[in-house]
Amino acid sequence: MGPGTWGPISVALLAGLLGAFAPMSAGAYTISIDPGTKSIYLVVGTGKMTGGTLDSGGTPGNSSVVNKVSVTVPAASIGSGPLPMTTDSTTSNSLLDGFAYCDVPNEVYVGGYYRAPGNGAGASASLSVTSPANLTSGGQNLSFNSISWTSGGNGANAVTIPSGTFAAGTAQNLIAVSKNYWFEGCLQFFYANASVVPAGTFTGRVTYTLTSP
Amino acid sequence: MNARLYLRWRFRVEHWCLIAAFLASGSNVNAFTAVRVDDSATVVSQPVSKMQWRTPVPGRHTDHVVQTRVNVLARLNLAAWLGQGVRIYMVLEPSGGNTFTASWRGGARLLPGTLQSGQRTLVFVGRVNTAMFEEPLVLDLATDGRTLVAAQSLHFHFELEVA
Repeated sequence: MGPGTWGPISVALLAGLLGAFAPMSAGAYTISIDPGTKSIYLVVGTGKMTGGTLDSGGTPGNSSVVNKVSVTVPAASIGSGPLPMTTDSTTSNSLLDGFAYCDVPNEVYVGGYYRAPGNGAGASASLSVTSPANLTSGGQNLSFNSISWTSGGNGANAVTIPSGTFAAGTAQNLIAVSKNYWFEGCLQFFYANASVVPAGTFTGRVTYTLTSP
Repeated sequence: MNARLYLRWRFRVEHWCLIAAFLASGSNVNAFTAVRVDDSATVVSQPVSKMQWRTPVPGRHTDHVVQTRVNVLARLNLAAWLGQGVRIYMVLEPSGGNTFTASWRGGARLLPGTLQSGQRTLVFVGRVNTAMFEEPLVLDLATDGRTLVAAQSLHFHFELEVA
């Protein structure tokens, strides 16, 4: 190549390079996706877990068990102040990791989660409890607000369910359950035993509900 | 060297310096020369794919990944490069606030790989011997389910460099 021919070749090369930047075709394929599904789970007392704890890959299921909490008031103690109640639930270990969390038969295990896309406050699930107005024994009534609870758990860093007293006849919110976290607590119930009531077996059922937005 | 030849030589050197500077101006020379391939004939198996939690129950040792699997039949029009050695990359374009990971197993001709939003990965090296390159892909898509709160569209395309 002689010295007089380099210019056109260089220009042609440059043009070729420039041409490479121009898209030949603006093709693209698109995949449309929807966010993750929602799920919710609540266990109060005896739950159902198969395949080990949740952390080890266990799967939560439905349990038809309705546990009882009871106390027998000795005749000599009638009206003399709070008495601890005991439960027939045998769930003492955390369903999350098997840690010995609750003391049975004194405490009732409560746990659950709300799985949903997103994070943070403002879109939490709500744990509530509804109690009837009264425990009943035949025609006799005993207000449900005579039953209270304290919340705890062995080695718990924070109490997830606050202690409280049943609001007789109404639903009451207990906690907001943040998305994508397992919550749990142990509830110890007490009978106020603040008055003299007729002899009998007073019963009533409360219902815990976890509601997603 | 006479004056005329010197001027020509000087101009020649300056010209090549200009080209060199032009090539070096991009942070990635390969990306600079990549050509977007016509993949408009590519088919995705389902119009919308529902993400599923990898661990349905949130726990202390579980993650928050949502994932899904999509079958794609990639069809690339490579007629312009018949007989040439090429490198082909798959690109996942940036996708809003979420970082997605796409991984796939290799097919008969495509290499297995993984890429994240905003990245590209080599999927083919070789000579083009067919005008319409067709290959099935099983794409596994994943992202953090806590930040994926709305439907999204993930845009993939292919880039080609002549080897």
